[in-house]
Amino acid sequence: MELRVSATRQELTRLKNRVRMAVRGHRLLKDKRDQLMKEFMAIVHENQRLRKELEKRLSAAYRSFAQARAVLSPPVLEEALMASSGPEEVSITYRRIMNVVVPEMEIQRSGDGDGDGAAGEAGAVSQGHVVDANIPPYGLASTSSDLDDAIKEFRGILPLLVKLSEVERKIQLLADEIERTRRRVNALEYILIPELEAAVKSVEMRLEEMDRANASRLMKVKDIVRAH
Amino acid sequence: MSKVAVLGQRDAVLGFKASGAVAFAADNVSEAREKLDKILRDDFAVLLVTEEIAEMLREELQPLYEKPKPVVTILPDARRPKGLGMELLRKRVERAVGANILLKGEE
Repeated sequence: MELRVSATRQELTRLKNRVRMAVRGHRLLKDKRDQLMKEFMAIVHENQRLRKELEKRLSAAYRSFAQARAVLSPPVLEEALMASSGPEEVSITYRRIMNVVVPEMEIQRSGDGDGDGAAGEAGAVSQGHVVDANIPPYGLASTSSDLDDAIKEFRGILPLLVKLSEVERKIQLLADEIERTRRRVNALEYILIPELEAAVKSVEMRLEEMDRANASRLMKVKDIVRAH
Repeated sequence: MSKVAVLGQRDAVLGFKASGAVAFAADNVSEAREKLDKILRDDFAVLLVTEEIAEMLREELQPLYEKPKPVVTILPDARRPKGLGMELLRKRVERAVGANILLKGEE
């Protein structure tokens, strides 16, 4: 589609300014897109790592839990589960990645020993980290050690799951932003900038044509005047 | 301050009761829907669902992905490593990058 503009010098300057602006915007957006992509890739890799680890740990937790369930009677099990902990609180803070607001979630563990409040960090809860060193709050006589293991596993997994949720939400938000930015980059690159440049060219040509017409008219007039 | 909810079949969520999450057990579609309503009315930051429930409630969960809260995450399942959770991720990557360059290389 061609822009309709009047062929005047004023219009030409205006158009040229617009081209300059569009090119600058295009370069900026392209940089933004590349940076977003970099962040996005890092987060996607982290997500895959987390998912793999969680797959393993979850199935291990299910296994020990199944063993515990096979040994214990349902009421005893239920009681032990009820007693073992209250619901955990999750605190959400927000951070900006390239102007995209992303949530960062962390589990707040108040009942545990010191340092566990930061358990939302994936590094702090890597394998083998004992989440609760205290003695379980249920009867040891009526329950088995499988149950202790299972509960410990599940408690260790929860911060990772919260982390996974955070990471997946980040991926989603960044994917949206990347898509949006890419559309804008492409619109500038393939539509607006070529259109403006074509308009500049056509105005320039028309102005030149007018100049030439004027020059030849002047020559003609000069001839007529001289003939008299 | 908000909490973590887990929605899944009875066997799957029982263990989470001890983990500090609030467990919601549902064994069929209508039960799952009911529990989901309950979860949405409360203040949860994270909603973890099992693959099976995610499949059952595909449509119900769809609008939630756009909402700030709760963040819906499909639990990783070792039995189905290429399940719905991965599928969702793959789609998002594809939409952003324009091609599924990443995941193929890592399989």
